[in-house]
Amino acid sequence: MKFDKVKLRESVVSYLFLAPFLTVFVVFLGYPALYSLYISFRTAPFSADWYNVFGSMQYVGLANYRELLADNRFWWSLFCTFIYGLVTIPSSIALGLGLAILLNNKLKGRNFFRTVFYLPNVLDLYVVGTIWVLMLSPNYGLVDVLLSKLHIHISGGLLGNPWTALPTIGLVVVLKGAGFGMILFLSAIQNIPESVYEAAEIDGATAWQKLRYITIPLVKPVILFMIITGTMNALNAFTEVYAMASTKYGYGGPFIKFGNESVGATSLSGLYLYLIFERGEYGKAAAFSYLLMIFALIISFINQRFLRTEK
Amino acid sequence: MRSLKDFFVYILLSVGAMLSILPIIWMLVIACKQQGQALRFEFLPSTIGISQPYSIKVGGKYNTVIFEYVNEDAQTVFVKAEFAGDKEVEMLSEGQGIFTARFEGITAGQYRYSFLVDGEEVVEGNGLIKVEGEYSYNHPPRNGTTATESSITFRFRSSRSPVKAILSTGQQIDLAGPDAAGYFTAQLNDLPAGDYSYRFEYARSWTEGLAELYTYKNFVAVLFNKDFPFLKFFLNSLIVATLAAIFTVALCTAGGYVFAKKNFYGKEVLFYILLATMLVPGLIFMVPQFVIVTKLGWINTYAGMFVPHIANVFGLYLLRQYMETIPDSLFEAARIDGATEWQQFSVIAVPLSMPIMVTLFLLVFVGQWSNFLWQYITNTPDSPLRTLPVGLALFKGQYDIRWEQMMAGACFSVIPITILFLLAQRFFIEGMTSGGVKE
Repeated sequence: MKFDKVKLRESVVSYLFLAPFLTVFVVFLGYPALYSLYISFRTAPFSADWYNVFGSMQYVGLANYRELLADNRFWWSLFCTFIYGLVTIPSSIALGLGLAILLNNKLKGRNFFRTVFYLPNVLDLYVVGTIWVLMLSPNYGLVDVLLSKLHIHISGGLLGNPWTALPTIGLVVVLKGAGFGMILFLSAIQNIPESVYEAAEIDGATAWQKLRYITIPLVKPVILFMIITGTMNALNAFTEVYAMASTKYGYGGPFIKFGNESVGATSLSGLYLYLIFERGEYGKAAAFSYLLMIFALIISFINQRFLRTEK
Repeated sequence: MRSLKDFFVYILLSVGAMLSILPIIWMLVIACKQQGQALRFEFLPSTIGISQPYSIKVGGKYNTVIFEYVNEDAQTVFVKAEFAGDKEVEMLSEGQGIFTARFEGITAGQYRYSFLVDGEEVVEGNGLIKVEGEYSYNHPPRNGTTATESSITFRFRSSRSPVKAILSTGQQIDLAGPDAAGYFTAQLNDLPAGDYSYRFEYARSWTEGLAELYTYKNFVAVLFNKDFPFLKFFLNSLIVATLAAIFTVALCTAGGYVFAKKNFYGKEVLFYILLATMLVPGLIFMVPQFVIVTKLGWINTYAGMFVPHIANVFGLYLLRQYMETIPDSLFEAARIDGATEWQQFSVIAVPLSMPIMVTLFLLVFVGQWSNFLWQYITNTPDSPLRTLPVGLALFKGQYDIRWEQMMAGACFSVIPITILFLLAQRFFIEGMTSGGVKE
């Protein structure tokens, strides 16, 4: 009984401390999540008063979801997102781990390199994307000039070619974010006791074996964290495509055939969702968000399972 | 063996470091380039200047006068010539401050002329132009090349030799000179009648070459652009990012403290609900957040731009992880000494968590500084509160892309944050990997 009194007092104090956070959380995160669900079953009629579009929305049941699931562009945007994740997640893990291993050596100027590698992380993605557009521009951009020195010619430039546009955007984002992965891996590697490596060396392990059988298993939590955050980033990706997709063809990048339709080669789900939102189809956009959330939950569930079985 | 390995590691790291900051360097270089030079792959100034191409007719029927006026600061230039009835004729801008106007069918003779530069009359030399013979072309005052029935007499003013004229047919001729007025001349004979174009190649100093490629004026143009008040955008970004960072840190510190150090009803459930929202794609909140912000009348306000993001679950998690390392004994001792709950928080927890609070402040500041989509939709296109990324995006959409000015604009976004990062990089890098507080 006495314990409960203490806990009750602590609870009152705790919720007082939490009140500001929870208020903002409920208003701008909790309520929106539920409201999103609510309007995902509604749609605004064409005759809607656009100054009161949410008030004039009508219940349509699952129509928004059905329309999306029957929309080729929706599936295409998911496919793009999948490819985007496939490009960005493994390469950012490899790059982050590689940099962390290199910088774990006792080198002079180690802090300098850490700073330089982390720097792009603090920069505006939109601005960095725009700079890369300039560097990647066909015929005149730095990358294209270097590629043509190597006698590699890509029609339309790397961003204007439907086959290279999406991976190129992915690599730019990976390069920009490499420092973050580096820091996470670095802190994980520094927690591995030196004695483990020494023991391996005595047993005659090669550098590759040490990486494969000691480092990678011990930084697995970081790898899984990066897979989950990478999935989230792929599902949320918008700014990078908005900044870098070839404006010549609108925001979806160069066209590619998918079924009978021409679709943008860089039309990621985040971008497609934005375009739906911009058209004022808020109900459909909300339904889109919930479908994305379901995918995100499935993926993170698979990841969690993966983590558990490996442990 | 060891030094060889280190050597390769250094090479790898240096290449990576170059690649990592390449966009910043590229941005700076392009921002300093002259208008129209952004997409030219030319970076080293050349000591050989090449003039723009001129056209000329050999064996033509009419006397033609081509006026050329060079002034980089001029906006509009008119020419007034006696043979054109002293009417003011607007000259065509050919970029880089060169203005031209062309008159045909002029009888030989001597005529008065003057320029009107942004409304101000400018008379060059004695203000007279001599139109000779039936076939002459005149380019006063810099370039007085003339043609006859079968020849061209090249004339070009330059301070250095050599000067060379290159004809569209591939013929080249070295110009002799300079004469007293500083002109180089040469005559090319036995040309078949027809249209030709030619350009001059002339020696110039390295600084002249540099000035042709680079300028500081893009920065001036961006800073004092009437349609895109970059200084204002900059200030808006600063205000929004600072407010967001202060409020986020305050909320997350208070929240993180109780999750780390208090035992209360619903703690576990609440924590998992909060963490679960991190898994949800952020776009899901966007539509309703937009509705709420609209209903609150927060469109085009600072509050609308940052308040929806200050309940930062990642920040809360970061603070909780850090505060858990503060020993409980410190709080117990304080309690025995009669410290209130608020005192325990403000005198023990907050000062000891300063490093992680600074880290979170910086992370949020940086995130808000470059938050594009949300600030884009909560501001109408004419809003005075637009932030830098939004301003930059509109800058891109509004005109034909002026890359040089756009990169100059980008510098104003990137450089402050880079400086902030370099000053506080210890907190960025160590904050996230910190081992917490030692007793």
